[in-house]
Amino acid sequence: MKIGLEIHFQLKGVKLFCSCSTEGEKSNYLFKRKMTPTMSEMGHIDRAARYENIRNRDFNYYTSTNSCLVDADEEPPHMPDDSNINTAIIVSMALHCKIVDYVSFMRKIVIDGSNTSGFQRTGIVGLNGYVETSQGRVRISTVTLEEDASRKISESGKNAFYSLDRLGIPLIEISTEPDIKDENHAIETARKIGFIVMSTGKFRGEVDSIRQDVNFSMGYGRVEIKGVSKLSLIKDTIKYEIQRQKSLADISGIIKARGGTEITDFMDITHILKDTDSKIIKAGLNKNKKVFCAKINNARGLLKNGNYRLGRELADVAKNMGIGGMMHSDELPGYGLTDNDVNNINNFMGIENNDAIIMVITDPEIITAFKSELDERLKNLMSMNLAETRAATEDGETRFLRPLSGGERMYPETDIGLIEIPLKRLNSLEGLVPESMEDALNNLKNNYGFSQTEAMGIINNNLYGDFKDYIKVLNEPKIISRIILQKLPEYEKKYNKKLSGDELMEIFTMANENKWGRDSVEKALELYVSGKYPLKILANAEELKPLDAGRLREIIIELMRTQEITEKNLIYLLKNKTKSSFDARDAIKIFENIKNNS
Amino acid sequence: MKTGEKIDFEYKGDSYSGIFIKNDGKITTIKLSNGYNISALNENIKILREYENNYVAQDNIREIKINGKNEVYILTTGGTIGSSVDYRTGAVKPVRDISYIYNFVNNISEFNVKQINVANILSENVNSKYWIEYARRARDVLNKNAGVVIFHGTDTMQHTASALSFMFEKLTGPIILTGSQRSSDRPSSDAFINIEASINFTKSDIGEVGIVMHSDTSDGTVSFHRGVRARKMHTSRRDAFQSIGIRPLATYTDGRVSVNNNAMKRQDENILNDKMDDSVSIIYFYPGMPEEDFINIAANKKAVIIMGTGLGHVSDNIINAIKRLSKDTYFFMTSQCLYGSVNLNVYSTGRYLLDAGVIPLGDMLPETAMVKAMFLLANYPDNLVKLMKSNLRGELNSRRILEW
Repeated sequence: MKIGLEIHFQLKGVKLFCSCSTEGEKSNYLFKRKMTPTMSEMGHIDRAARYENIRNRDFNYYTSTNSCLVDADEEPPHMPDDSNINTAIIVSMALHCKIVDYVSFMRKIVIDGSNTSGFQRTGIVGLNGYVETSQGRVRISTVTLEEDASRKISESGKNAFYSLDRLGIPLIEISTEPDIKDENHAIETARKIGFIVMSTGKFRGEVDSIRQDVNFSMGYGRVEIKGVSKLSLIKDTIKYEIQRQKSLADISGIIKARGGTEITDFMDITHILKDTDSKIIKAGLNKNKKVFCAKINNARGLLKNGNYRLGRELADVAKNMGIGGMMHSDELPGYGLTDNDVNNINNFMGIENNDAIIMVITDPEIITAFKSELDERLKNLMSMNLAETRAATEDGETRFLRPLSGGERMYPETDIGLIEIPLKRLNSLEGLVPESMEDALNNLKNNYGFSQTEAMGIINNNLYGDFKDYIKVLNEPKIISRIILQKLPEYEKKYNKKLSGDELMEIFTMANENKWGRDSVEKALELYVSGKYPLKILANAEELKPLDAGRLREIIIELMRTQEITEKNLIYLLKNKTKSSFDARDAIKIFENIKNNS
Repeated sequence: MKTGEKIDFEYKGDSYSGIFIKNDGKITTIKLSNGYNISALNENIKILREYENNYVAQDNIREIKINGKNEVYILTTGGTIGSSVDYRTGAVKPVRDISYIYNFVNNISEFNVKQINVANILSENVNSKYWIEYARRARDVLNKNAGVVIFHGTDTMQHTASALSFMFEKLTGPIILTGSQRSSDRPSSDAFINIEASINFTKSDIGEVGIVMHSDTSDGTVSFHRGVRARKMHTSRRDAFQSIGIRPLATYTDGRVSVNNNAMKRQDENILNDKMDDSVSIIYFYPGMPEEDFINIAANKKAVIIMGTGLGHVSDNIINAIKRLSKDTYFFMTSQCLYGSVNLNVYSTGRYLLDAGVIPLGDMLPETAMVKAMFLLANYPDNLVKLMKSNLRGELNSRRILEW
């Protein structure tokens, strides 16, 4: 088994090839485009591109508050901002890559409409690096800087709708060699790479800011699984893919033993079903669609039966071509069709023993193209040539997207010249290269006294960089970690307010100046998050004035009068009694003093 | 090493294989097997092995089997629409063969498209000699009863369109100029739909020279602009060309052509006056313009088109210069505003200009006026002023309406 990862991280700030912000919202202005596959000089059209073209779709784009003519493909790209290139260089260095002499942006043809230009601009920044893992080095083939695609909003029939808010956001793509041993190792590798990118401080950090593609092979060709949205899904996705390929191997064996298979031409069977009660068929016929049926010999019981899901593999083609539902004999009778309907179809089609049928309700024009794509797919599946691009689903499964693209779909971006990266620039960036996750862990454990669990908590929550900033103004690692991991999220939730890093920094600075203990820092934080005091007067808040020893003594005596006080319940009861802060150690001293003297 | 040769090489201590693209003496460019180009300083790269060159550059020529009944000739002259990208090097070069259009023109089976390579220049380098050549080629095609579409760079397409408009006194069919704002190597190129629309417009009954380009940013509707009223109004948008002061003569949407009543109809013969006089200039007035500069350009010209401010004004010193030169040179007034008509009766400056001998040209576009003067000087020098002020091809409108 071979596993490789391609991980994409969005950067925040300014888009890669224009001056728009990476943040913005969808507007209501809409425009429409077509995509036409273009030929390479060799006269070839990339197979993936041709496949998209057969679908003959209309692409509709909503502009956004952060889009301009560049995003609309109405203006040539601007030169990329230095900051984005620097981040890519820093990440490359942290991954031990060789940095190129010149960044040379390429156009990678993508005609699924996700890019208004019909290509994605991408350039290599780092080459041939590695990341250390518990199972040895995983080699990094490339670190590239590229533009993110448009966000798909919806799709209906031949129309796809996109928003331009995401288009052009800088992405750092990190590709590993297939050195990853298994699904757990994949997660570890992704974590370690992710830590480095997040440590640059330029990571965008929104819901969809990281996307993983998994390259997977178990001997039947390379499958590229696009868009695994969550780290935890990598595991399920790989498991699903192993299961899928194993069962396809079984199916292929069974069909071979039965004597092979083929799909017959599609026959129009609309007349057989014109009086059917099936709602789905009636709805199609009302839209002037026709019902087509083809026979697949020797496939009965393999389309949907336990782990055998050949039907779904073929249905993916229908789905990609905008043909809604595909029905097949392993599910019939179903979809409101009666035994009688099914018998009529079987008789018309001349079904025998192991013959299976598939049915689609569609416009007649598309049926020839559909048949030829279906033939191609069945042929590949039966010869166990499973190399293709698949999409990851939200529930850890995968589905067929398109054939694999070749290197032929790349050619130079002529609107942007080579971008030189002189040695001087590399030297100036060296100091910004982030630590590896190991080094960060060791730093937290050895220099700040955290346990492995505490240290991992800081790292996994992407708070290591923040921690290093805060510790500079308040040398209290435990207080800081408790606040950033527990108290701050708790108060933010309670008062429904987000705090910026700068605000928190102010409070820690204040804590240092006023020599606050843990309780006071937390109280100050809550007072501020709740909106009771602005930062300017927070330090003078009544609640933060420590009780002097005399007043503390009075309160403790009062408490002791009414109930049994021990060292254990003292602090708890004191806190209930007074809103002001006090030093717990002082309180205990006073308490012991009173007890000993009485 | 030759472009396309497979090589093994060392770059910064690591070994790779790839395809050699070029070495410009400082930088070597190599295509890696994953499709990316690497551009490396020569001192950082070491060629380890060269493989026998098995790459043969292929012309993109394919047999065309479709033989529809409508014959259309495409005259390629250069520009973005007539260029293609070398996918290996990224260099832009002329299209050798336009058979690729068979991939995307929807109703191509109705047509029989042929290509004639007339020129291969960027449109900023086009001059009146090219206009004459294009006009003759277009006439030859129309005389065969075939449709004619000219692929042209967009920068000066309006000048060529105006020149052809004036040179043809009669036309048996439309002469269509089309171009693209996005090169045709891009899947998103506007070329595809512009070409489809152009080919379909050749069937229409319009007897005018027109510019056919996107109506708006969407790939939906394509406009047929009257050549003498069209202007490139944006540096990069697909809908850069606009009809100024009038509606487009026709539109194309999804296989359907719809033509306005205003369009002139096909006539029974082609009459071409293929002469142009280059002794015309265009001067853009600006505040503080020195008299000498104006004189330097205007002197020894037979006619000068002035682009004045607002209703058609220039500063007093320029009026004085005009007074001195107007014995030997015709001065015509157009407006920098482009939209609307000049009027030299509203302000005193205008009346002084009239006194100095300046001839106002109504709402005629400055570039159109320049080309028209070149045409008239060569063909009707005796009637220059009268004809300049007359509407010959729809270049001059007497009415301007609020909404259209």
